[in-house]
Amino acid sequence: MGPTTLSVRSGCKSYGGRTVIDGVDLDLRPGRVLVVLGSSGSGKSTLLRLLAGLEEFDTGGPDPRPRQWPTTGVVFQDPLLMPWFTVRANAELGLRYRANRGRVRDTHAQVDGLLRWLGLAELADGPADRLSGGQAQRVSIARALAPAPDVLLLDEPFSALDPVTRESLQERTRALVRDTGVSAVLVTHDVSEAVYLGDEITLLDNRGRLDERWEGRPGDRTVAGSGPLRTQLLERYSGILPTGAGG
Amino acid sequence: MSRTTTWTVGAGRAAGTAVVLVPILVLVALWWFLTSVLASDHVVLSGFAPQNAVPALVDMAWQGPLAADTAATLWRLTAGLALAAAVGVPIGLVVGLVPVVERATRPLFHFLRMISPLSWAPVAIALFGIGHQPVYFLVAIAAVWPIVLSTSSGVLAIEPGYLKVARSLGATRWERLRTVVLPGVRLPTLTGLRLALGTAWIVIVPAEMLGVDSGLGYAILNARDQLAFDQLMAVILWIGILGYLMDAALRRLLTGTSAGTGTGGPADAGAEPAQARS
Repeated sequence: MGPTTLSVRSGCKSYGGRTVIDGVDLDLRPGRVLVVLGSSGSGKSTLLRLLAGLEEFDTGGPDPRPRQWPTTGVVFQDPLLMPWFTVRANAELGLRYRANRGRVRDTHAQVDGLLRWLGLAELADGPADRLSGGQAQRVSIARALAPAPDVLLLDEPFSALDPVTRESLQERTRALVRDTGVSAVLVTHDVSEAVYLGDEITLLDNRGRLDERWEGRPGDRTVAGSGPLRTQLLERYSGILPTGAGG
Repeated sequence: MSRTTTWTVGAGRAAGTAVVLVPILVLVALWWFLTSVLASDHVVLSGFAPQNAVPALVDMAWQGPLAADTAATLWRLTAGLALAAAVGVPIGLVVGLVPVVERATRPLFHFLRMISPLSWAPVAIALFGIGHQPVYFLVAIAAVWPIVLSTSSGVLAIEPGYLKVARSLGATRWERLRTVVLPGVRLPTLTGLRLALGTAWIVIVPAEMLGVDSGLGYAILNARDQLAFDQLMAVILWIGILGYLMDAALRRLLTGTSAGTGTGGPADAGAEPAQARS
């Protein structure tokens, strides 16, 4: 395997004696999208929080240790835009924090470019609480990407959207990852989404263990919707999970 | 706009004005009836009549000490409220942010707020002597609890996801306070201030009867001592008008704040908060 942006070895996490993440090995290669596919309650979001540094592994974790953990930007399931700030102010939040430490000069220029790219330039100076679900999620993607993180972490960011908006945003995200070259980890329960966005796909079973790794077919909506890879994944997915997977 | 629509809007406005004015006119009529008809022979009560009190109010406003007394009362009110906010907002923030402090102090604060502020008067005089300080103290102790409770409730009501977002973006504790907590509690704190103003306004008049020689509370005692019942009633009327105006101003400020849009950046933690997301 070549160089990795982020590696985890034997990562474990428990809450009150219940193991949620159990001996996870994970490698993310530069510029690739790794999809972690799992059902509700399988620990996907926990894994993402661990990767984001919002929580710490009980044992195992970043490899090799000690190592400079890559900078991350997280897109959560809900956009969580702060209603007291404008759209632009929300998008540049991370940059502002960095600017407080003297690491960024012109936050406006960086954020404006992203907002333009995401089709939000017209709304930049408007209130953040008047946006549609899709627009709000686009702002949250801009917010995560603005500080130029090494890794973009996506926690089921499209699951609360209607199908049309979801497809459109999946396409934008796919193009954005390709154009910026950022590495990304996406957790989802949607097999089609996994196939469409993932360069690599791995399954997380309900015991918090990662199953085998599959090569995705990113950008191919037909394969994602009805191709053999989707069928294989669905079979494997339903084989390792007690409940059926979404498709 | 068509003539019919204009007429309908005009009629609606007139009806709205009537709804507000009629109860006031009824109250004034009742006031007049009680003091000028039923108690026309009563020397004290007839002094309270509107036809005596209103001219007295005008007279006191133009020539008397009403302006100076009002200024003194408003100054004490402002100082007491500022003191209550200076103490209450930080306490409310700590209570809201630290769960163990919230659990530990909840019964204590609810116990303390149920004590009538005026019952602290002897303690205030014993502590601070005669003068302005006991009034500041009584206003502050009356106003502090609504501020503490509204601020702490406001902190607890902040969407936890906002703090998670800020952490994921690398915010320090101070930055989370400045960009999430403080803007998030602005509206509840202002609501607490409005409630505090109402309580403080009720408390300040009797508090000014405790050995100060200015203010609206003092003016009431002074009018009573001079048997100037028209002036006494005029001051009572003025207290009501002032209280109503201050409450209306704060209500207006609150409405503007809740309907406003956030225009500031994260560095501008004092930006106008927008309406909460549904």
